[in-house]
Amino acid sequence: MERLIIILSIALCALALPCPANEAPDIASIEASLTKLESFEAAFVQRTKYKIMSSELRTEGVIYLQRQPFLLAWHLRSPIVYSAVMDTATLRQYDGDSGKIDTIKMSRNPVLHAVSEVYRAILLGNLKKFEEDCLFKLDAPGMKLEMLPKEGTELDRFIKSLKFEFATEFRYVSCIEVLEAGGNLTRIEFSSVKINERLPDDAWKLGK
Amino acid sequence: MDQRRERLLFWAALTGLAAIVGICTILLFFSHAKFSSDISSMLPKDSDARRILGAMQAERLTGKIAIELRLKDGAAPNLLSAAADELVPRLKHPAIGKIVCGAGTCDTAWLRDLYLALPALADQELMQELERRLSPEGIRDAMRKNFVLLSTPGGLGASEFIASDPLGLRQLLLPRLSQMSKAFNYRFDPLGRYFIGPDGRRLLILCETNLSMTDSAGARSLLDCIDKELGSLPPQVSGRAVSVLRHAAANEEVLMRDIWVLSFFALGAFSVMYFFIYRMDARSLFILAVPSVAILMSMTLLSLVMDSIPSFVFGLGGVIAGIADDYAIHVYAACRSRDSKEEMRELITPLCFCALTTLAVFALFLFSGVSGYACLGAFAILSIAFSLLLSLFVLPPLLGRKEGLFDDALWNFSFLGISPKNAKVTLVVWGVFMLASLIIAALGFSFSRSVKLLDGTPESVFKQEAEFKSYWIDGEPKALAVLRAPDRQELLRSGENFYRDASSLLGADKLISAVPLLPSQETVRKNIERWNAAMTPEKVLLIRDEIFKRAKENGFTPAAFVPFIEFLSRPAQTETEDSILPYFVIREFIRQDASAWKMYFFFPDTEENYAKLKPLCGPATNIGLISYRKLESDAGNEVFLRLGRYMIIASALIFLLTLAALRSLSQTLLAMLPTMSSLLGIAAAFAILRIPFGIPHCIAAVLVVGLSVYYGIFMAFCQFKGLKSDMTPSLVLAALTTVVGGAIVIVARHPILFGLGIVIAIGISVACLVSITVIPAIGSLIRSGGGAKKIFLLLALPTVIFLHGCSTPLSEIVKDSPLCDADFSAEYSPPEKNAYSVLASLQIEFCGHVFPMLAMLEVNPAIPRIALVGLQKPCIRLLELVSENGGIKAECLIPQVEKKSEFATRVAHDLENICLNLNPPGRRVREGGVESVVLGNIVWRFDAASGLLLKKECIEDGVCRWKISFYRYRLDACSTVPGEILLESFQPGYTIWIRVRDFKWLNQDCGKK
Repeated sequence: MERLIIILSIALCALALPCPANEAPDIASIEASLTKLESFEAAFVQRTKYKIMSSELRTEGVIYLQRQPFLLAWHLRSPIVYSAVMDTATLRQYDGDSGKIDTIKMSRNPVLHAVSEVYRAILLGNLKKFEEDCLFKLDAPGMKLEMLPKEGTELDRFIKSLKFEFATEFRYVSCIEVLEAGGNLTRIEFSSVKINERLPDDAWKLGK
Repeated sequence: MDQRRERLLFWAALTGLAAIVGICTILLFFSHAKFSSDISSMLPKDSDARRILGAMQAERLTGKIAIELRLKDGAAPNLLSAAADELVPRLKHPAIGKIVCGAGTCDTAWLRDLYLALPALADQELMQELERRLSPEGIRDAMRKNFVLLSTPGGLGASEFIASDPLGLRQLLLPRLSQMSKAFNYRFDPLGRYFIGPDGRRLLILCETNLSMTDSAGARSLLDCIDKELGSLPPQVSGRAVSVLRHAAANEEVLMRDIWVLSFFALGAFSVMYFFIYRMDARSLFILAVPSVAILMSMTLLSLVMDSIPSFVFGLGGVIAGIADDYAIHVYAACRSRDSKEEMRELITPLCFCALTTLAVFALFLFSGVSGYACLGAFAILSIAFSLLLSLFVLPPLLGRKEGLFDDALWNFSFLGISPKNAKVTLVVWGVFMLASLIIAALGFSFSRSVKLLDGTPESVFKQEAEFKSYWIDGEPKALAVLRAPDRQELLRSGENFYRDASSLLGADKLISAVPLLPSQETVRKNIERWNAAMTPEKVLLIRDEIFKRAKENGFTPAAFVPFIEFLSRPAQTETEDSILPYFVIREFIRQDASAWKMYFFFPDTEENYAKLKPLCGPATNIGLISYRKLESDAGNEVFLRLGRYMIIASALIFLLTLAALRSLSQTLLAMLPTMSSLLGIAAAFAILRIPFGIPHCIAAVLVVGLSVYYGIFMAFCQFKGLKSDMTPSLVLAALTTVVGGAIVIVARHPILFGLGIVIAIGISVACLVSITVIPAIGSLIRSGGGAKKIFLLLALPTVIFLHGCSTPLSEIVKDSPLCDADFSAEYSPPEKNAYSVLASLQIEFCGHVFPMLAMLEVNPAIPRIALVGLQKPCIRLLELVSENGGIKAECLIPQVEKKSEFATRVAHDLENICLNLNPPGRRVREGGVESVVLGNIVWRFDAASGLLLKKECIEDGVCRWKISFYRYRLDACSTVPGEILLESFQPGYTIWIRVRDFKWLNQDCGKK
């Protein structure tokens, strides 16, 4: 769960990357763009290639993101039905197989609490929190940003690199690629993206 | 005056004791009773297991010895036969009867002339096939085949066979011969000069002896003789003898060694204990004399009454001594106290009640109907009764009066459980112990009904036998039906009747017998009539003409077949009793001994087949059944069930006796606490030590039930019946001697004694500790006004937990799923070579935790390789493992089991069982709607109609270790795939459940597998 949150929070950071159209973006401008994101909605396809497997695992679903109050929803549709909805205090998850809903409180889970603090910092435009732990490699013409966790950091224990690919004019992130320290590779591709539009009422409903 | 009287009494008692010892020794010397290590003494008389064992011994099946010669690396193959040629003549021992090395001859003339037996065997089925072969088409085909055969290299030596039987009529009888050969599970050619193994590097010599399993001395002598001869084999050849007789010899040896060693240790340990604890009071050694003389008296009485006494009964002498000296210890303490008369007077009632409860438990064994248990019961009852009498009447004069000697004894337990504060702490600790024991026992306790636990044979012998079987034995094991009759013809007639009935019950293909090739005179007469009626002169002429015509067509000389035509035209006769089959084939099916003729029938050894044939057998029909599988499972089950029954009856009896003694329900419950605690402690200890609880442990548990209540009764008397003296020190010492007696037995090599020792040592230790701490604690609370209510709550809580733990079933995940999804007709082809991947919901239950996850599984049966990634939904890795060619790499990220390395390994092994080897080679045996294949310990069960795999089980020692069930088959990626798979283990709290969501072949298109 810890990893999911970190990946999602970094994805959130990356999603809020739209830059002014006519300038080559830098970290500062990316930072400035973060505050403009109010909501995000997209379909996603996640492919994970495990090092020990010859074929990949493919999952599909829908993601919703809201800045104020903070809410993140991850709804899986295939191959299983699963939903996770997170706010600043709790994480609720729904399992389609069993029909069960679990609630995890941040206050009782120090790891989750620490991670929520991190992505709140991102939302407020404080990328310095990541600068301490990561090296940034920005490929502006290629519209790619790579974050490499520094050696000895907590992130470095399980992530080797994070790559973001952006759509035209840096309007939104089209792809995230996470390479784990163990060699497993996860690629999330977003499509049908909607930014700063009204989110559906049932976006935060578990089992949607 | 008093002193003189004391001296007189002392010498009178001593003289009396010496006289008893003397008389007993003389009587023992002249007694004809023998020690016996016969396992049948532990089986009920009316049980199937006892009958089977008796039948095995009667047929001398247990007296066979297999001598295996093996070539060492680099040795030439011809050395084997040469070594056998030298060895066989040297195998001279009075016990050896017949030695069978092989067919003994390469002569195949009987095969060539087999067709001559046709008239005598011409039943309706055979005549129908014969008609086809004698038809013009049949003759044409046969002669053409003969021509082709002679044209090929395979036809070398065939001309003689073709000339004598051009139509191959002998082949009509070959299936019957082939069926008979299935009786021989051995992997060798029964027609060879020697029995040589499949790789040509081993040779087998089978010896029949007249020894029974109980003749351990004879077995030892014979085996020593054979081992000596094997020692002088050529250096390139090694040899070993494999036989059940090794078990008889080993058990006897181990038991006798154990008896002497344990007796020595027990005497020494107790002597030191008394001398040390009683401050070198020489007369304390009389304590030891009491149980020793009591045991001697018991042994003498038993040997006068019984002819054969199980050895293990005397092996328990050390334990019985530890029990029987309890009374002497209490009497000693009383005699050494300040007011010995008063103490003795107070002692008699609780002592008698305690002895009564112990005697009641052993009395149960007398009515068990099992001679071994009855002997154990009688021995224990006599020992304890004599010990009590000696303690009360003979010991006091021997000890004399030395007041105050024991007041400063080391065993002062007054700090335990006196004050209410101490009492509460004690009860809490005890409560935690009970709860912890309950949980540990629930998680890890397991039963074993295997009779192997009663066998003291070294493990190396078992391994040898397993290796021998894996090399030489093929196919499923066979059971036997043995038919007896006074003469040969009566035997053959009865054999035909039994064959007809048994075939209809089992199926003709399952029953192996000589009956199809050895009919009775009456049947022969009928067959010959049938034959003669069919072979009319006109018909024979037609056949002759056809044969001659086809012979010319194929280049044969018609004259070569004249003898055959003469055979057909000659009317068959019925005078002779001689069988066409050679002796070395018949001897395995028909024999004559001093008392009767016997015929053997073989069939697959399963409990179901045994049950089907049992109604046909019995003294009325003179048919006995011998099933090794039934013997193994029943022997264990029978003993286990009986002991379980004793446990319940003993507990109830003890409860009632205790109630009669204490006359209070609450005090009775308190007195039973040490018993409950000891049983729970034993269960927890066995769970921790990972020892399955078997038959010897059950015997000991019954003893513990009877012994442990003694401590409870005693302490209850002390707490609630106003005994003035503190019995705790003598109680502790009494318990200590019992524990030491049990602990000494732990050094025994024989598993029966070892198992008994562990259980008694643990059980009595716990019972004693609980009796001197918990019962006084509760007594203290009651006296301080703590209230009976609190006591009952404390008692009720563990009872409720215990009962709830007993009754809560294991969680059931999938039990009523159908075999197939609706509207699906299956053609099952399990994956054998091609790799596939599965996406599934996976749930693992382990040690009380349930781990649901989404799993990606890749299986490559060809390597074999299994890779699993288990994800907590949706994408957090919980488990990752790879099993490849037996090696396992695993990474477990589940916090609850992260540090348990055995979790991932176990899951990997179980996935191998689930995903690999789903289509075993080997014959499928049909029973009802299920077809089974058995290879080693693994059993596969297929649905007979659809061929779908239903279950895969591992059965060891009659116990199902794990079982995999396959449900909800459906079509996926053009393949028949089980939608649900459930693995259940014999260990409680461990299951794996898989629901297959998606299945696909890797690197293969749909349909191309």
